[in-house]
Amino acid sequence: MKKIYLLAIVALLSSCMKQVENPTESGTQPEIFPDYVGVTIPAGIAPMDFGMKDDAFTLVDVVATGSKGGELHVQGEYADFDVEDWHDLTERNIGGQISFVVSALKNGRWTRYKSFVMNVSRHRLDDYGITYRRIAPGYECGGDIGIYQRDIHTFDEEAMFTVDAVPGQCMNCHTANRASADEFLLHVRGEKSGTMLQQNGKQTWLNTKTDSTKANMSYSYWHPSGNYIVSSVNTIFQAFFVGNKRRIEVYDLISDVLVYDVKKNQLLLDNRLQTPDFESYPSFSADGTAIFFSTSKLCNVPVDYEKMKYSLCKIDFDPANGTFGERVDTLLNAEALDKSFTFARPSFDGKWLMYNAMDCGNFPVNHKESDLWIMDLRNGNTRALKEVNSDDAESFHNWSSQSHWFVFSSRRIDGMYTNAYFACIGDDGKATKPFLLPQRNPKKHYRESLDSYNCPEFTKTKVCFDARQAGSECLGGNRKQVDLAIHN
Amino acid sequence: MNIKNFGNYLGRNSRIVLAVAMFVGVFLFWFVRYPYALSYQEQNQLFLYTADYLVSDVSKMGGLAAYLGEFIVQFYYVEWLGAAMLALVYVLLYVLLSRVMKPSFALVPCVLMLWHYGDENVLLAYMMAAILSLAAYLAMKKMPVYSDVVVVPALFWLAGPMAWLYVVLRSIRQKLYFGLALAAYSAIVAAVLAFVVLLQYPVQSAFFGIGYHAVPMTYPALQFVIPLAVVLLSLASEKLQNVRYLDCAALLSAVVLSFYADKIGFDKEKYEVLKLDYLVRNERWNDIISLSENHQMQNNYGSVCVNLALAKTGQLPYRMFTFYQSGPDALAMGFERDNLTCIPTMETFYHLGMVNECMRYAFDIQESILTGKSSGRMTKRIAECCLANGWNDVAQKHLGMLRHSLFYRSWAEKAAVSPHLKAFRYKDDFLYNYNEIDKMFGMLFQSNPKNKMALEYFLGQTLLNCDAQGFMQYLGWAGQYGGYGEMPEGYADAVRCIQQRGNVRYSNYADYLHSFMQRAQEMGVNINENNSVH
Repeated sequence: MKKIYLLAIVALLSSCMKQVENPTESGTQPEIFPDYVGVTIPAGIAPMDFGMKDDAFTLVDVVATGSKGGELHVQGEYADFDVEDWHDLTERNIGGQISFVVSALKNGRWTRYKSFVMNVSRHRLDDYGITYRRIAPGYECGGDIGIYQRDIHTFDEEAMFTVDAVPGQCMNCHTANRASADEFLLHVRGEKSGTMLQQNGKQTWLNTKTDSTKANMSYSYWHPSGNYIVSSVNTIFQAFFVGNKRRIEVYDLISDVLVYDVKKNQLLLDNRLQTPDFESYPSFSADGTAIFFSTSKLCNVPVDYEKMKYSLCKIDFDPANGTFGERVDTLLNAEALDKSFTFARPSFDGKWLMYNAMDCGNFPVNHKESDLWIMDLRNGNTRALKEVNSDDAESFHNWSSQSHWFVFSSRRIDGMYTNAYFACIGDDGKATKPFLLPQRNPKKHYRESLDSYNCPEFTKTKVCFDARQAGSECLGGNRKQVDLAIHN
Repeated sequence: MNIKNFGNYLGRNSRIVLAVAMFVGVFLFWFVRYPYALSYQEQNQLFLYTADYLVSDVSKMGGLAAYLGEFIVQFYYVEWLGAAMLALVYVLLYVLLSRVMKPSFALVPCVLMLWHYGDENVLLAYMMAAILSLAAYLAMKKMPVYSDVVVVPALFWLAGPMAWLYVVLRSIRQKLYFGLALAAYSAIVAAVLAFVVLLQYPVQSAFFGIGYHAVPMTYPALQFVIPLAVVLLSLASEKLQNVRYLDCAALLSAVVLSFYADKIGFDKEKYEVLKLDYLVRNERWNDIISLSENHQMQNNYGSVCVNLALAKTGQLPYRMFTFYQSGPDALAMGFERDNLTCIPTMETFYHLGMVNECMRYAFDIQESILTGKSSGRMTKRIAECCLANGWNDVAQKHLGMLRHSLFYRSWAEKAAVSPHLKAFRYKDDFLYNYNEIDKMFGMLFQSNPKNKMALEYFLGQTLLNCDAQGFMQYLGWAGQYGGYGEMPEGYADAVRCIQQRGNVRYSNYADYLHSFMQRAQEMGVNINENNSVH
């Protein structure tokens, strides 16, 4: 009896769908938003809802068929797939494809488009989701900002820590240890500034400024052991353009790199990382025995901002005793290549090093020409990720815990608002066409959203974060002062 | 009808009479006396007719009160309409209060409410929360107390901690045990909200209200005094029913209190700032000048406003130094992180055609709104600047929002860019430098010599900087491009001062020079031999 009722309901719902009558066959693939044509997705990703780019289309009918079985049929203002049905379809078609036949209604007439596919990768993406900061792409004011986490298998987004908890302050540079939800740091700026470390559920608030260092810690990266954090200390400024091509140039007046010993609560300094030149954007290698960082010759900023070109360098690091190697190796010479390289991030399996390359400067999101590049750490070969890059800025990027997927920021939609994209890296180092973070009714969401998705990072599991405690500790002002240890 | 009959009529219909008096009084108070306060409230929000906007509001504690408040505030865009809507809200409040106490007593909390709104950052959500709580109380008066199991949590969520007004009014009119049980239950509800649900907020915010004041974690004393007064007056109404002349005393108290409220509840200096902003917004340049002629604010904000007004009326080169000039920031201020101080500078950039600077200031002013709301006024400026820059996709994002509003919709539908923005913007691209704002104005003028305002700002800035050499070097541009029949008196005065090294009697510019030097010496700023600042 129950089955009969179910069938009746399905039949009733189906009958609510309009028939695609006498469609004009278009020989082209549909222009959809987001552009999911030919992307590669992981099984279990949130439904890849999409709509027609042209607002004149009032109805879209989509039949999604798996190459290994399964079919979904949806119809509406946009392609709105049920989460469970979608998951089933993608799980059934791992290693295969899902083919989409789109018909769309405009001015009472249907057009049926040439089908397109989404590939379902063999590489799973089982991380829970991503964390990011939502912030308006403003200038000197943070506004209504917050750090959020998003389950990438559904559309659920949750606030982790917002400015509501710490009124008048700004939070930034949240960084997890290899997508761990248990090891996490963030900085708060403002009157109650400080660095919060969360390890195994315990929050510690630090004052990372000392008499011997020039500023608080900012761009940070965890050692895989969780015992160290390599960080830059910078005084960061902005300069603003008057024309209509660029808005902002970010520059440092001073910039050094140091390592924070978490267990000993000490800053480890090295003269080669504390020169009068600019050292910034450090990261640890996957095995924790080296530090990648970017360095630029000192120049008269902001006037000579075009002379700011960062080379990509490496120095060994001994995690057993917190000491640095004898020499600094230059991996990519900025002057020779006439480019600036920043944000080096190794994959956690040690195979790849992804970084940003742009004409000059150190803040890729403000450089339209900024692209993602990749270096094969096994042989040192480098190339631009042409299959991923766009005509606009690609910037902050991070690896999934299994190192097959990466998330990055891009301004390709409108040139101002930064959004999160995902792509897969194969064993041959080739990346797949990236896809925009799925949203329910994506056209409406991305059209109306007034926030950029800043610094996206994977998180293996859901982050448990006590915002009330963090807010209370932050506003309370008590900070553990970091000490100093000097080498060389 | 004779006087005695009229008096009897008033007595029998006191509630209606006082309500009408309330409407007229409140309307005139806001429309005639403080229309700019309404403008300030309106420009710090953008009410949207979308389901998302409603959901976004009501998904927070006190959200329905906030939503209703924002709905009313949108009408402040038209001053008389806003004042009328606000007066109706006061009347509604009064009518509800008059059902829980004597009609004459009900005036007192209304006046206290008026006093409370002398703080320009008190949001209308507070009054709407009071209205919701009173309405709920009156609706539930005859319902048994067990129905509060549902009503109390719902009211806490929809109206915020003002729900305690409902709880107290209900509790004191129940038998002791029921009253105590209701109060205890409400305390548990409040605690659950504070410690389980509202974890993104400090504890104080959860207990004392999230959306009642634009500045987070700010709780003026009146926020607590008003509901307390309601409870006490409600009790007093019952106990003092037959006391003679009580109504007269209450009326008199309300009148005295209202004068007192206006005197101390409305910070005159602060309201002067709001007034100037309102006049700038409405491009009432002559009113700004008249106001400044009588009494000018002695700070950079006042200087920026009056200079903009002078420029827009063609008087800047003539009368600039007949007004107070705060120093090198008197034409355009460096950005300060709040939602008001730099608005005149933003408007100055707009009128000059400094597109990116206008957009940057508008963007950051909007981000400085501590409630996190968008501003219709700023969004409009941002959209227009994006269109002027050719950033159409970004412009559409902001225009899309405006199209869902009531008063900005028609502008957004046309989305016309003022021709001067494209005509006067910088032709080259370079880095803006506030420390060389004189050069910024000069280069702007060079981008289009028809931009007379840029020329006047450039020359004005050299005078503010005491850059005699620069002024004399470029004064010729005034003759060549200014279109003045003869040299404006302000420039002539400056030339005399420069030639006689400041020793000119009855010279406005000389007065400025002397006060500038004095201030610079007090601050230890180095003045070079050409008297320019570095």
